[in-house]
Amino acid sequence: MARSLSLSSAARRPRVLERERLRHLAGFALTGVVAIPILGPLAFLAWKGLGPGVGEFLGRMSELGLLWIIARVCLLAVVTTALAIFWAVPLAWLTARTDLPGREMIHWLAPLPLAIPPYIGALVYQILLAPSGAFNHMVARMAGQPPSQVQVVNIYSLWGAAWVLSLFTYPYIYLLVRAALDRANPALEEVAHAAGMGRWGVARHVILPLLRPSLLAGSLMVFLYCWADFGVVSLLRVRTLTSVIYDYVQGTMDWVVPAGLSVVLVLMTIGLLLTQLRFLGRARYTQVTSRSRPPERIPLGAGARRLAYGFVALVMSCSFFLPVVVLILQASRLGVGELAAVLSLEMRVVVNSLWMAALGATLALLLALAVGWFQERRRRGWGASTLFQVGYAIPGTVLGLGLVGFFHTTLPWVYASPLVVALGYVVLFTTPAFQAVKAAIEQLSLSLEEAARALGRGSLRTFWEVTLPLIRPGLVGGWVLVFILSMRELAATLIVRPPGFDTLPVRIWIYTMDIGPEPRAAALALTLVALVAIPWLALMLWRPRAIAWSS
Amino acid sequence: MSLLRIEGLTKRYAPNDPAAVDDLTITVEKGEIVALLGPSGCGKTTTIRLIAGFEVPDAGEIEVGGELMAGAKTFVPPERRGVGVVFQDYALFPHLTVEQNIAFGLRGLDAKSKEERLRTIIESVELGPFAKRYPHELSGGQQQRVALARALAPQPALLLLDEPLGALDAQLKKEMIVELKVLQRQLGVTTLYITHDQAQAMTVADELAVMKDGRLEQVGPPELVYRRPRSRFVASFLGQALVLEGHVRSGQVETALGTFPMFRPDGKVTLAFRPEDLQIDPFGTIRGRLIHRMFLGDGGELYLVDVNGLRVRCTCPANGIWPHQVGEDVGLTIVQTPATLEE
Amino acid sequence: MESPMDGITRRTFVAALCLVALAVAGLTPTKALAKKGLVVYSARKEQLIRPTIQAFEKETGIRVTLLTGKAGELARRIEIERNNPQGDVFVGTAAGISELLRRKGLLSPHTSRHTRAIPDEFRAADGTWVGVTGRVRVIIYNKDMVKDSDLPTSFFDLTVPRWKGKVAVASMGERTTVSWLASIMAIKGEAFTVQYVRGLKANGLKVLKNNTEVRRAVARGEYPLGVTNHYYFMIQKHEDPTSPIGILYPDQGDGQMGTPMATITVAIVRGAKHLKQAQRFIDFLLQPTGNRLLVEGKYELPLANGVKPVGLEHGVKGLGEFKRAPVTQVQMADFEPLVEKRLGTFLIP
Repeated sequence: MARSLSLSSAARRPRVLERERLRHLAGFALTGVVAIPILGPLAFLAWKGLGPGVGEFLGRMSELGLLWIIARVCLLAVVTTALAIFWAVPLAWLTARTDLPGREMIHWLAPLPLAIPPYIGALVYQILLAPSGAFNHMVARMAGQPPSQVQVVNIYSLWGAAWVLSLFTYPYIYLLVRAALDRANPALEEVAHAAGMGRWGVARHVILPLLRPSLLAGSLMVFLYCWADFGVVSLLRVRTLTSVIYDYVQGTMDWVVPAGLSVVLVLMTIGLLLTQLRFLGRARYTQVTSRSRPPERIPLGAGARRLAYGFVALVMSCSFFLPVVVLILQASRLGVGELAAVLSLEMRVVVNSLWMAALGATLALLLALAVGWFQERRRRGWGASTLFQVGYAIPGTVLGLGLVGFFHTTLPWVYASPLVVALGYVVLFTTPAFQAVKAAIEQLSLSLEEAARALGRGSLRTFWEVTLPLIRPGLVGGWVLVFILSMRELAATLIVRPPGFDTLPVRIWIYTMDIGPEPRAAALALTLVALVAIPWLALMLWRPRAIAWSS
Repeated sequence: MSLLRIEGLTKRYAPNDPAAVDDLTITVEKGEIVALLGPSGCGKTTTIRLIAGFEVPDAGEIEVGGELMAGAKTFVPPERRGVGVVFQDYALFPHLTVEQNIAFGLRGLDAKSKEERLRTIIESVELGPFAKRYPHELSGGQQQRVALARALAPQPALLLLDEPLGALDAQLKKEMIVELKVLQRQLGVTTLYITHDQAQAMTVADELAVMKDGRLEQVGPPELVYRRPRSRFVASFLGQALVLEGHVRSGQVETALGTFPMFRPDGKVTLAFRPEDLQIDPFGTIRGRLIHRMFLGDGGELYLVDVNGLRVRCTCPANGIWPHQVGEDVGLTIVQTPATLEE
Repeated sequence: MESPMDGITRRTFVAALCLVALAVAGLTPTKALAKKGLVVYSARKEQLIRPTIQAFEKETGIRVTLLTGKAGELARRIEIERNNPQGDVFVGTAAGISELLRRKGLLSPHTSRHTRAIPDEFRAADGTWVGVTGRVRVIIYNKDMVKDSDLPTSFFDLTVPRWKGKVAVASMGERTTVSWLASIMAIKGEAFTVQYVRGLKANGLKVLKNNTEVRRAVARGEYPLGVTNHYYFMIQKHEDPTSPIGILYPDQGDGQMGTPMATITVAIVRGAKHLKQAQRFIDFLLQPTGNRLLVEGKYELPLANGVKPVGLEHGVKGLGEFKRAPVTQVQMADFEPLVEKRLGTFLIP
């Protein structure tokens, strides 16, 4: 405190100290506000899980075979990530570096599977590849055997879950790798060629090292997703930490196992996240604004071209077209009248979903904006963004459980209202918004704001008239991202939603759980996919224009 | 009357760092243009940022137009200082047109006088045809003019220019600097011009202030500072100088270049020889060997002569009629008394 | 002179702030609660209970908001919401969890002409919960895969090698699984039951997510046998009349324990904000009109006289037509926490 300092130094720099102290306090307050909804639930869970004693907890965990479950999740995550890399990297390379006709179109299509939440993908593959699914039926009919005797494929396994998860998460890797390929200076490759290196040599020794950070970043995103996933593993009957937690939540009133497991899960995901930060530091989605010149494209022969189209067709149909078609077919079994009835019955749910996702995205963006600006311009508030990361790492199931317990005891009015749903979205998804906002502010030269100050604008008006319009593309991108993620959110919503406030994913879940992937669930899933795909497409179409003038 | 008065200005970015600006005291007279010159990292940009109000000083006072802007108990935020700033990167608002950029600082005027003022200023920087364009559609020189016009539009009492020509090519720089000077004279705006380029500084400034390590080394009219540098740093930073120790003894100074008259009390002196202080002269008493001839275009020729292992730069008489070959022995003569440094 | 660009941004920004303000104002619980009417926490399948609720709304004009979840999840909510109850009525899948809630002091009693019509055995002595319909634990089997003569006759036959890897059961996520094992524990003791479940697991017992998956897996022939509740048999028959499935009441012989029957119970949450409506709702479910809807919609066994069971022609047996395990709902409740604790980890998919 300034007052306790010696008189001479206090007299020399009183005001500066005061400003510093104010900033310090403000940074602290900001971090505090962010900390409450993130650390509160975790503390609640730790208390519930470890309350009866560590011995008790450890005993239950060993009965549960915790290590086996962890090993299984690891295997699932590794297999999924490997598959996702296998889908993503060839796509990125084909669109960025070859002369494959239609590559622009493919580039535009490749991220589309992000519009399909993986649990909906699981629902589709259940219809297709379950033991009594369409595929086995077809085989049985061809073999002339009763359907119950034929079981060629069975999606209910770790491998099935990895297949589905990889198909709907590979765009994370695709986007990062493609951006890195775009950024890579073609001159480097030319130098290597000039030095006498062959095409494969260049690929191995030049391109691959350049891609490594983004490949690692994307892979870790997929890996983390597998850890936190709840929908796919539940539907496809893979016993993971999240599904065990949810089983306990829905079947018992016991707290030790679900809360304790939650703590374990959160610690492990945070560990993974730290690894990620350590390895990659600053790697993130960066927009590529310009490139000096396009790279030399590798001409593909007729055979290679056929192979490439085959691969693209396989990936795109498995991850997007097939699911959409299956959902349409399944939903069309309802008939128009029934379909209209379902949709009108669930209209409120659609509105709930849109409303909450919009609110969550807006709150997350405002928070990200405040913290991003504070960090970039006041050099304070670093704790807050770390907390966002923690929130991002908390699996939805865990967060839901913690939020319910924590808010009911601290802020009952939040708990009892749909606000808690939006708050859950904010806790889970502020990080993507923050990254977008921060990248935008970082790109903005400080002198622009100073120029406005010198021209007579106060700091607020400067923010309003200069900063805000200039970081708008980043803000819109961040908002849409959080909106999409919130629209898809299932695990946390399932636990925290107040009575009478179901969201679209929750309804799909209830239908599916009750009676499997039936037409009504398909109709709702289709609605969700459409609602998520539209802003996503809008963003993709709008983005190139938005960055044109900022360069 | 001094428009800008700075006294004891000190700024440190971190408690244990050396001061970026160290006890700086300077005044700028109304209507004057003062160039703040120094190598990069000498604290000149920090000084400007302190004057503009982007940084808070640790100690010292800043007064603009007789009003205290920063002091022990005062800190006026930048928006209320009435100081115009042109940034090194111009900092043009990319989302606004040229016209909107320039009008940005025009506030509190009625629409008509605002329009009028805008027209005048756009005319004076000859940007009329570009008024509706966006900054990224302009060339570097045009962007620079927009930045200048934007800073001048609100008629600031003080204009701060931070390396305003840094990003332009050499030819454009020369044109712009004249334009700048003319415009400054026309408007009579007091200006502080920051640069690390001594040629620019000497061309533009009424008064030159040379900075080093956060401190002012010397202030004065460019010619005087050039002719009579007070320190080794100023001598060698402003143009070229050969600094030699000498010893005065009864009206004669002994140096490595020989002995010549100097009216000073006996004792040690440090002398700075400018190239123009020494001239090629076949009858010169200083003998050496020509090792290099540098053709300077408009400035004649500069000779590099080896005098007993000392590399001496000198000039040739304008009507030099003795063509010398590299490797030849030549004579030198002192045509002007070198500056005496205070060391 | 403002650029159109930042005008748009500012408007967006202001709109965003308004949205937040509006949302926060509009979502205050008092307002939301007023619109919700009677809040029913239901662990029943939504599609099965909805007709009953619609009939109730139509008859009484009381608006009902339904929160569908699993019994444990809903009970957990009620426990958390102890000081500020959000729900009014709890519809549980078995008496056990209602009894647990009663013991934690989370329920409020209600006795009426209609509740008294239910046999004592199926309601709490203090009137806090009451059974509305019954569900019997049975084994369903795939007729294409098992001959009638090979069928097991007891739950305890399922640990023999003959049935290795051939039996499916729903996870603990289904409260009925917990009730079933609690009944066995009540009769045969803890050690026996733990041994039994270990034996089942060792014999390749497949734990599926829920009873729906069990009935479907059996109907499709993924597993020849499934331990589930009798009405799933009827639901499967209804969904696909060609399903090759049969129903089997185990442990019916002399000296065998019989099969347990659990009840769907309803209860009023203590501190319910709509007490009167909640009472009317419970009475409605017990009256013949309401009860019949539940029975017919869900194929459960009626507890009160006057309503006929459904599915007798397929082999479903009414109350009194099969040997019931001698265990009361309260006894089941006594053992449920122990089952959760000792066996829960075995009964995860």
